[in-house]
Amino acid sequence: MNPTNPLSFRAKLLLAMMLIVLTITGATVYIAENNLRANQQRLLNGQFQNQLRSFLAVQDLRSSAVAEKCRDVSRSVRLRAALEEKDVDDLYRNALTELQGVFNPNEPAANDAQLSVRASFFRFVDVDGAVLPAGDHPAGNVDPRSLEQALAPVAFEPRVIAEQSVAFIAIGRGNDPAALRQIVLTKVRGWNDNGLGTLILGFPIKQARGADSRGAEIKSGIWLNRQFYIADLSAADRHLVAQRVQAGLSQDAAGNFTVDLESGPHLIFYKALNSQVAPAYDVCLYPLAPSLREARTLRWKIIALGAVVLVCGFGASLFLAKNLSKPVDQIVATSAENVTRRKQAEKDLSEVNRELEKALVELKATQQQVIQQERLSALGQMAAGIAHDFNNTLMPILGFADVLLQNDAMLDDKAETRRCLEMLRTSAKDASSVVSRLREFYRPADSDEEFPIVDLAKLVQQAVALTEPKWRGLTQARGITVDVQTNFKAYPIVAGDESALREVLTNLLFNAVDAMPQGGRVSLDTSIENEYALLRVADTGTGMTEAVRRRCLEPFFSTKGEHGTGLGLSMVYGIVERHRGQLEIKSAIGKGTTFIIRLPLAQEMPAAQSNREVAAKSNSALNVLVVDDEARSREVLMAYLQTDNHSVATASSGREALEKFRLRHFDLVVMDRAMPEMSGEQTARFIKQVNRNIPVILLTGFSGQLDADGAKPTAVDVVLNKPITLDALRHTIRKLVHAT
Amino acid sequence: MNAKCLIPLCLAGLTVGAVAKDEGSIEGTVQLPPPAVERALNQRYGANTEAALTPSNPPAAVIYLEGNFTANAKTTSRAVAQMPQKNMLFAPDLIAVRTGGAVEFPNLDDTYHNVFSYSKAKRFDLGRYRKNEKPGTVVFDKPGVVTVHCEIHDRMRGTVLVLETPYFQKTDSTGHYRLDHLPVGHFTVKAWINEANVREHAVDLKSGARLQLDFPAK
Repeated sequence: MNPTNPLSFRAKLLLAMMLIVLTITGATVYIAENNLRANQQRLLNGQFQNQLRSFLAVQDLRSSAVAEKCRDVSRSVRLRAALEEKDVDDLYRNALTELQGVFNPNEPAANDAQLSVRASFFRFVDVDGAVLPAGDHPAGNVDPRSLEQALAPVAFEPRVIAEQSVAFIAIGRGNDPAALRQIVLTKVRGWNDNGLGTLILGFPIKQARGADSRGAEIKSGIWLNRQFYIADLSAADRHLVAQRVQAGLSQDAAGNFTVDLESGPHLIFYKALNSQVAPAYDVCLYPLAPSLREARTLRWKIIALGAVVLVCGFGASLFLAKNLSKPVDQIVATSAENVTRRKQAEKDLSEVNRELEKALVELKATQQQVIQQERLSALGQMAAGIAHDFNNTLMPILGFADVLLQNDAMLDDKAETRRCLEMLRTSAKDASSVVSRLREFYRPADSDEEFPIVDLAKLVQQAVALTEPKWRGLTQARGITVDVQTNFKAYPIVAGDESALREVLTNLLFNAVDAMPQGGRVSLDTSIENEYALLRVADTGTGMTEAVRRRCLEPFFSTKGEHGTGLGLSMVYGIVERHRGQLEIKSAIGKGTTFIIRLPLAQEMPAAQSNREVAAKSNSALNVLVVDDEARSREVLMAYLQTDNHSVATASSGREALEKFRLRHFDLVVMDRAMPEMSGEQTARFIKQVNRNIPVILLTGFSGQLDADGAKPTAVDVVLNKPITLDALRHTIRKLVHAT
Repeated sequence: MNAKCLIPLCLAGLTVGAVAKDEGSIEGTVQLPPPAVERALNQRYGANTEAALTPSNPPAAVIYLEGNFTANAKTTSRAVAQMPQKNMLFAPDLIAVRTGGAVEFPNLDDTYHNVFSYSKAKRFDLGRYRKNEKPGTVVFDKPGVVTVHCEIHDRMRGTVLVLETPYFQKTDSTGHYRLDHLPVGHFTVKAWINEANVREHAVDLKSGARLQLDFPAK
């Protein structure tokens, strides 16, 4: 816990409030001053515009009053005649008459706007720009030399001047605005429309003088030809303003700027005047001192107010900071404690976690060991189980073989003999599958595994027939009745391993019989439900407890004591899983148990199965090399192959096989896996080196497959498990040869 | 008088025929400027509609002979010449008189006219007068060009050519002229077309000679 925390919080709060007050005060000062300045400027601009308007109004009045008169004068026949004859005397005499009402030579610099409409002088200028002297005529008192000079910059090209123009001139030197005249120039044209000269009327300029609302004196003047004509302004100031106006001219016809004159800062407005010959500007000077004073006062007021607010804010902040910081202090203290606690808890938790993980790892290792041990002990039991099941399958073989051998009459009956032989074959097949079923524990459902098409109903019939000796014999021996019923609601076709499925059925039948020590009924149903083939095996036996039902699928779990292996149902489960099916068990004590098996329906049509014989016949005869170190196996294979008209060569070892292979052409190699000297895989590799395209079938005993984990050697095309049936061999050959 | 241009001799034909006594004659054509009516019409859209509505005078020039004339020089009749105002025009707007000759300016219009001149050769002002009012005659005692105006109608403009010679004639509207009964000797023939266009040509008049002298356009 940090003891400075509450203090710094208080200080921060105080600082923040002070900052806010300062910012607001500053912003207010800034905005107020800006507003004031903008207002001032707007006000002054309005004043300037008003003044300018009145000034221009006088000019307009004058122009409109004078323009027409001048035009009339310029059309006077006598004036024109006089000008044509260059008769100055006649000219001015006549002009005086014509200009009555427009011209008043005695007019003082009057303040009366009405009077200022009259011109204070007039002159004629001839075609060449020379001022025609007025002589004794009262054409206004203007020094002729000064007038000549003043008119010179007006660029007296008669062609340049329009019919009528307005301009400003300054007569004489100096910067007195009284020297300024507004002149109206009117062209005089002769009878032939030829230019005879120009009539010039000069008007005094009356500048409105005023004072703004604060009593500050406003000065105004005229800027003409780089000179600023204004009264009561020092030469330096005049010069400065003239320069600033000149600088502004290039940008705009009107504008304003602030300038520091000797008499203080001034805001200056200027606007171009109507002057067709030389540019002239009306310029107004507004002293800014009063407004600046006002602004300064306002600023101080605002600052004072800001200071008051600051002091109040300071007090308030102190008060608030003290009061606010109390609960905050507590929160801070608590939170500090919390943080420490949480950290400790996290640390503890992670430690526990670590220990748990360690325990889990150990547990897993232990579990693995247990499983391993379990598996080893299971193998021993399995051997016993296999022996039992194997005996089960050997029973019909021995049985039917005995019957046939001892009953000549039966042997003579071909149909009966055939039935017995088929029984024999079926049992032998099942025996082989008993051996191979150990794989079910090691090999999970193989997604690549392809099953032939099987008729489920037919399998049920077979299973019932095969198990008949057991349940009938048993029941008769014990004097009880076991009734087995089949009920085919449908004949579903599934893809499956025939013997494995038969195994399922026999196991379930035996279990059912075993579950009915007092006799009863076993019913086997087949039906189709949705996409699945449904096989139901129901008995009316003792049933299972819930605990038993849950465990009954575990390997080695048995309720039959010494008689059971505990593998039957787990095998059933394994086979159903392999077929991507589902196994459901319903059981009630005293009422019986029902096994429901769902297998996916076959996608292919059963027709594919029926062309087996046709395909066998259509097979072309092949040159087959059979390699096996066991003579009996070789003979069986030869017999199988010759049944289908293949020509067969045999070899007893890999070496011999290679020699034969090099000498002759073969279409197919069928080879045992386990051979001395050179194994089947090695031989296959050598053979493939000679001919990469030759198909190789590898036959393998169960034990070999066990450690190979079902993986297929690379040089081999197909691996078949021993013992093999003729059908399986035919099927494989057809697939291989047709594929290549 | 500004006779600025001296054009080269251009005689279309010089025919010498038998003329009585010591007299010669000159005949020819002055190429006149296009009639003023066109200009007036062109100005229809101009400021002065009055001029456009007014028919103008046909163009004409004055041909006169300058030189030293002997005492036997012809004495022209002292008849008073006239420059009336008609249809808001001086009609004719060009007349020639010998120095000392008198001219009347009768008003034939129904409105006022005020004929005056500021010319150096003769300043006069007849004031305002109506039809039938007699403003009196003006005697032109100095040679020169006198431009006459009407104060009321600014388009009206007339020229009185005051000549020292007795030998002058105004051409017809086609520019043709014929000066008869001319003295023998060395003279200058001048063609006054307007103030800015006065041509002259030196001639040697022999007794009974009939000269052909044309003034073509410049």
